[in-house]
Amino acid sequence: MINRPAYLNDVLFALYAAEKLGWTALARTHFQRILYLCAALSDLANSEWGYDFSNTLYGPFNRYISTAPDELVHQRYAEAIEVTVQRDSKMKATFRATDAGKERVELIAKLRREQRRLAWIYSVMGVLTVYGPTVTSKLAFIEPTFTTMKLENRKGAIELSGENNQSIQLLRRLSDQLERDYSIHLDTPVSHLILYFDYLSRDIGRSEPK
Amino acid sequence: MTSKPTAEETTRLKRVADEPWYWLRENVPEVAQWENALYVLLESVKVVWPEYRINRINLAFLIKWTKSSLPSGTLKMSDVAAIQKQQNAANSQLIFEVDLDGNVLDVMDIGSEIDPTAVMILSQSREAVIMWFGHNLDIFYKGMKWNPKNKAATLKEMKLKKRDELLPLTDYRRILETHYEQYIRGESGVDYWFPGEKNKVLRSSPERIFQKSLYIFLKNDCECDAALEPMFKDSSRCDVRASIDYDIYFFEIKWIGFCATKKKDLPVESAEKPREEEVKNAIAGTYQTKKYIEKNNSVEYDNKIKLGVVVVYDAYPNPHIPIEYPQEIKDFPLLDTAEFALVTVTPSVHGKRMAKQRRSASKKR
Repeated sequence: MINRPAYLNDVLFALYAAEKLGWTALARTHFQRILYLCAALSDLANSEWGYDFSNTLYGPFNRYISTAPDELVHQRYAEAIEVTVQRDSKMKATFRATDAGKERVELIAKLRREQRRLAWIYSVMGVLTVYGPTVTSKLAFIEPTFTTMKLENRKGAIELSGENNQSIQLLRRLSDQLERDYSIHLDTPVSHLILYFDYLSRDIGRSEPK
Repeated sequence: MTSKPTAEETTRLKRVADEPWYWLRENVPEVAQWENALYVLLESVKVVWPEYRINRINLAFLIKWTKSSLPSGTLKMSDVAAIQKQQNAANSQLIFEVDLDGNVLDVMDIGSEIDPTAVMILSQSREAVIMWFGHNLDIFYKGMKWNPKNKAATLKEMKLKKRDELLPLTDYRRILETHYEQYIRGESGVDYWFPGEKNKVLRSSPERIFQKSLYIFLKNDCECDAALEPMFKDSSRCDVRASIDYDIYFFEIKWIGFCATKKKDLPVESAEKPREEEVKNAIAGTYQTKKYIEKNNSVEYDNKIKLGVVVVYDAYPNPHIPIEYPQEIKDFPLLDTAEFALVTVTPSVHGKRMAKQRRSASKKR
């Protein structure tokens, strides 16, 4: 079980990475989707993610991540921009890290465990930079473990450990085939990420809208 | 002592390094008009290039700044074996002129074996863009080689450019119209008429065909998450659901006209005694949808339905649309309707082109 600051740290790391990688400000859905992909693929970094996401109608969801941006704003580590209040009183906003937030990340990352976690989020987001936030959201929604649960109408926590993790199974099959048939050896987690996201996004945007 | 470039040169060099497309835009003014088409062509070049490399037959493709709809059977860049055979038979003396769809428009015999220098000179004299498929993949223009330093940035720009065009869900009417033009009209993307009964009788269970097609379009080409036949809170199901940032839209697919039937326990479809789905059935469908929305949008549910859209495909030989819906339906704020005629003379030119691309892509897979 992971303690509460882990959610806050992860969201702050995502904001920090977004800034470094030149992404636009992130919305709540983006945090859910980015961190879900980080969790689903964390086996590549030999790390336990520590918290779950649920299979919901809106895609993989964790309620602490949903509220983490508000808490970070309260602590002045993040600021909300482009705020709109909807007719049903729900607030939509995008967020970015403040200078205090960035300093905080650099301080937290002095701890080796957090450094590894930040590096992993940064690596995943670095590869996803090629696709942008819109496609990233779609990629999390079509992640194979989540998709399988939806097809089987299974509710509850998305099981990402061991053999249940369909993304890792898929990657194993793809990399085995590349090795066997083409002698291409994927030797780093990032090379696996590149292969995985390229494969998963193969149909997105295939038409040519008018 | 070391000399330095001028301030203007420094700015220019920095821009080229930072924005590789800047070079192309600056030097190839034709790109401005054809940027999207060029991105798509380069994406497809990327796909076929590994196939070309295997046989090590040098090739050059001169780009003509045009898009043309040529009859089927025309040689395309994706016809690797045929192009290589032709080049080999001509002792590697050919340069292929292609349009922005990759269709081979003409072939130029330069009288000697092609090499990068010859290609570079030709690109200079003709002020043309030429892609060189040799040991490396190079692009020449006006005698210069385009070799951007920042390849990751180029890739990012290419992918983002393509994908920023995903249709936003808020523009659901445009989504439905684009889907109709590209996939439905004139069977451009899916087959739905019963064989031999075109414009008269649909295949059996046509709603399944339209549902699946719209779902795939929403999933791949629109800025939203899509689900096929998802379950509502009350355990009923809608045809297709799409959501973006916690706003839910759902689409109910109806059709009117005639469809083939299947005898019980038999897999064979028959159009001998077609089943008719009348306008009143479509209207009944809108009432059913209204009921769904009312039952599943109660305040105790967190999931807020933004809009339900009833999409009607009209398969009558003499179209029965527009449908006159009851005032109660017209006045319901969370419901909209959209109607499309299936009996049309031909698919749109764009639809045909898209269908052709899809067919060749699926063959490759």
